[in-house]
Amino acid sequence: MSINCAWLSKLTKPINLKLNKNGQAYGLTVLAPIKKGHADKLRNTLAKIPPVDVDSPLANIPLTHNARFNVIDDLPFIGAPALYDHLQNQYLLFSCVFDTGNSNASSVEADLDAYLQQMFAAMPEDITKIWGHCVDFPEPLTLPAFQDFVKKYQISGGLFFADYPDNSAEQVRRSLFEQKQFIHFAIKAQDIKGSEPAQLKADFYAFYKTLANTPTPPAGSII
Amino acid sequence: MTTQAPVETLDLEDIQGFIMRSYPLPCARYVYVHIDDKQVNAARSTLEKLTELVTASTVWPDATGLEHALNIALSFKGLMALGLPTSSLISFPSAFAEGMARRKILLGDEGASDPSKWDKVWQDSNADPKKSIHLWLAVFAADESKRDSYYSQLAKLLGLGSGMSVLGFEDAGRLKDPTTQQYVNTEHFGYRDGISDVEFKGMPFPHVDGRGKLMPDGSWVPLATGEFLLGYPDESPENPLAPIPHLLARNGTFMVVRKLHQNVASFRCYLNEQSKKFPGGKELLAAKFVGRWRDGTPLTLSPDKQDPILADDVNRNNSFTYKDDRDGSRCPMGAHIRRMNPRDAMLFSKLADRRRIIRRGLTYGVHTPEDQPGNDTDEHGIMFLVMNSNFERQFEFVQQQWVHYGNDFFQGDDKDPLLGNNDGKGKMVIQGDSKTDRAPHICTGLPSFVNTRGGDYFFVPSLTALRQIALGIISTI
Repeated sequence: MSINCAWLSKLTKPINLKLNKNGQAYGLTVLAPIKKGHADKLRNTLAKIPPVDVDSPLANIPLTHNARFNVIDDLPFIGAPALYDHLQNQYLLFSCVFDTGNSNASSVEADLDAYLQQMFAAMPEDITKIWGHCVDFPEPLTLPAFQDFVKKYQISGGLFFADYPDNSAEQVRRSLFEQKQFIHFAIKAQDIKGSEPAQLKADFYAFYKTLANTPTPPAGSII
Repeated sequence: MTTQAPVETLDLEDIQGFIMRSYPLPCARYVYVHIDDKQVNAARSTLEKLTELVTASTVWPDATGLEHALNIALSFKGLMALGLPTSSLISFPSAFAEGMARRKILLGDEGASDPSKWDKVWQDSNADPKKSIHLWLAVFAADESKRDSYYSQLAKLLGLGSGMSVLGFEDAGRLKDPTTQQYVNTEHFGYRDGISDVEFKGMPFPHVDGRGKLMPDGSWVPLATGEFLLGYPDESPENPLAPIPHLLARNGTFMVVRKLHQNVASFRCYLNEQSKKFPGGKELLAAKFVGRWRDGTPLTLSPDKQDPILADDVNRNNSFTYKDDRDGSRCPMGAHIRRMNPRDAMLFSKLADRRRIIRRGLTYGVHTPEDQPGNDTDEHGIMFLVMNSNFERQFEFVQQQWVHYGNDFFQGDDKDPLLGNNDGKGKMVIQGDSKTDRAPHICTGLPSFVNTRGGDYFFVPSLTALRQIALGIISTI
């Protein structure tokens, strides 16, 4: 089984891994063919997985910026005089942006391996529940088999836009948290009338020290 | 043949007059009418008589000598009651068919603004098919007695055997000083209102800078007609989505009716309390909320003081951009007018060109003089009308993304300080000025100064369409 649409296959092999990186961010795109007759069950499985917030299994993969699953039925007909272009399969799209900045990986491929390793550790049951509806899904599931499966159906990003090419998800979350805390501090400081610059400075240092010791809210939480 | 096909003239006799501009008439009565679908022939004949009285855009450019005016709009249920064929009904946009109450999550109508808290006439309209508001009549007049006498004429048309019945009405109009009985020039919060009109191609008025769209060379030109009237190319440029048949849609528009209750005491109290902390004082704080001083002077043009000559000059009081105010040191990034019409605030003014709306408002209730605390409970507010060719792209987008969210203006999830459903938890940042070392000021604990008390989505047909509906000859076959 391989990706069978003419123009899509151009994006498949050989994969230009460099196209998948923007700064330290990696854009992973996987198009896995769905087993015949499984799309409705897969949609039902996906509908029951919490989409956002801390309950999403994807929030347990610390490197994730954002990720989504999408069932693709076919190409839309875009009107005459277009050629009819059909997919011979339904596909499960997995599109995800993750961090590579903190990894010690030596290559772009190793970056992907490291992410898939985290994913495998964080949500092994969900991986089977979801991708189990796809062709070639390895059974029994092992980490190397999962990595091979994803790479087999990975396509190149083409034009990869990353919201935060240079900052990790952890840094973004921390910054939003600190921004919010700082607004609280600024409001408090503004309400103290006639506060002396020296006092304000001391208050700020105290605030900063407390902030530095406050942990970042967990991944997936709305800050 | 040419690829450039600007609409230079419009069929003014076919377009309802209140779409173009507010009449120079200070009194209004909005009448909510139910159509008995078992008497559809009688109702159609009444509609035909009403259509003869409808004020068209031929009264412009000046509307001089106009003593009264009448305009008409229909809800989706109204079109059903008048027997439009299903094939035509299903061609209307889904937002219109659904109506305003069911769009409450998009519009931020929650808490005190929830449809379950609306005025009875609007609640009934949503709940009871026998009390649905089908037809919206707007009577405008030079004074109250002219309004009353003109309305009594209309009321006869709507009497027994008309196939229609009046569910209720609401009077609105310019505010008067309770002692002198002279008109004041403001709404209940003390701001001069009605400065920002849009300008689109084919309007029967001389060009005014600042109303249309901003071009890359800094000039202002009229917006595409199709942003506001159906049947003409819009800014994309394509014809906006419109119902069929074509004649039903052409020269018509879609209208939002929104009754906005104003919490006068909350507003005045907040302004007094917060201005104690705000270094610029009360009037500057009031100006920072809106982006204009209360007399209408734009902060961007006059950041330090009101300028009555500028405020009164229609050629200048709306002619500005945010080119030299990128950091919001004059007009704050989250100020009301910067949200409602961002002009070039987001760098690409084309983004704003597709979100423009015609805004009309007439106050209702009794004016509380500025030196009194006022109250929140009396019936006072603004009968707000919006006209656009696409509810979702225009009004609903502005309401959801710009009134109830601030990300496009780098203001996080801050809401509009005046219109936002702030519920005591609102926040607004008044940016500082690095040139003068003025520190930023953060307003916190903003309450909801305004609550929704009713309203719905309406179709404002052309006179041709009204006559065809009245004749029962709308057909898609």
